[in-house]
Amino acid sequence: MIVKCIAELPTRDQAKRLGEHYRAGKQAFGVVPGTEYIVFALKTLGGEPWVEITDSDLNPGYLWGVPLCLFEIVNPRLSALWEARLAKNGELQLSPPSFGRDYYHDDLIEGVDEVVADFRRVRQELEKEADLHRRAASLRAVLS
Amino acid sequence: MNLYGYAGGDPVNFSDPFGLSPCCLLGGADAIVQEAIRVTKIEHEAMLEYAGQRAASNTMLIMGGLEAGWSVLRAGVGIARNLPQASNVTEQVAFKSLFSGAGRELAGGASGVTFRDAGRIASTYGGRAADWAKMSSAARWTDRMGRQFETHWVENIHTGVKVEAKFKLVKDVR
Repeated sequence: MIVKCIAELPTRDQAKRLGEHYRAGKQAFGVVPGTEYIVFALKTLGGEPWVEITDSDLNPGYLWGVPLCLFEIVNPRLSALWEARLAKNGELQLSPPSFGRDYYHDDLIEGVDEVVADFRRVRQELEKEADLHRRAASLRAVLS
Repeated sequence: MNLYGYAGGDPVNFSDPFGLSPCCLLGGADAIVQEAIRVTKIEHEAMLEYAGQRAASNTMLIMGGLEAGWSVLRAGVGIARNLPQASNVTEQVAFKSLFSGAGRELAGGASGVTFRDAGRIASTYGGRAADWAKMSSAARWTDRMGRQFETHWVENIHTGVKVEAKFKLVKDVR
């Protein structure tokens, strides 16, 4: 799944829908309009869809959540690496299985070796999928 | 005395409105930290209302945390001393971001992602573990070698109190 950023921050109506999960004025997402992002995980928070992304220039990088309403969907195909599960808070998550481990995201930020190695592997796979999508899209454009 | 030392002797091309250039970084940033500590003192009242008497005893710890974070910032200044004199806008944005509160929520709080140190933070600074979120600045600071840094901190999502701020190297140059 690939998304393209269309706004840096939610509108007032969108912010209302995001509820307690978005603190207007206190929270930023650091996304750049016009930039495409590979989606590492898709989840709901308070029933609203969010994606987990990373900065493409960071290696290994870390994950953070951004409301899906800040993007348009460029490639809607779900990753073959994802599995669906219900988190402890009852929210739906579609993500690589390892992302569901307690403290995975936190350990990634802190550079825990085992988690970093797992994330590098996942990232490589997701980037391969994204690359295949881009090639297929280019081919379709040439043929049409 | 060089009146334009803050701009490397070139005030036409460089400015330093926040006093963060290497030659006056300590002075300027000290002022920012003093302001943060002053704000924290004001937040003391809100904390009292929010978490009861326990927060009162923790306010000093919060200020201690700010000062501990500041020691890390000072370490960052050690790197900054080797930078060219040009004022770095991104650096200023990173500093402002640290204190203005607009950041990415990485774990804990309402992110739906577990935060390993939330219990320790709550027992040290007050509130509930679920109130604390790990945050990062949305902006980065790039040094002359191209290394990129972010500011990371822990924030109480209800009171806005920030603790344990640090500069974090996120992109090294190889």
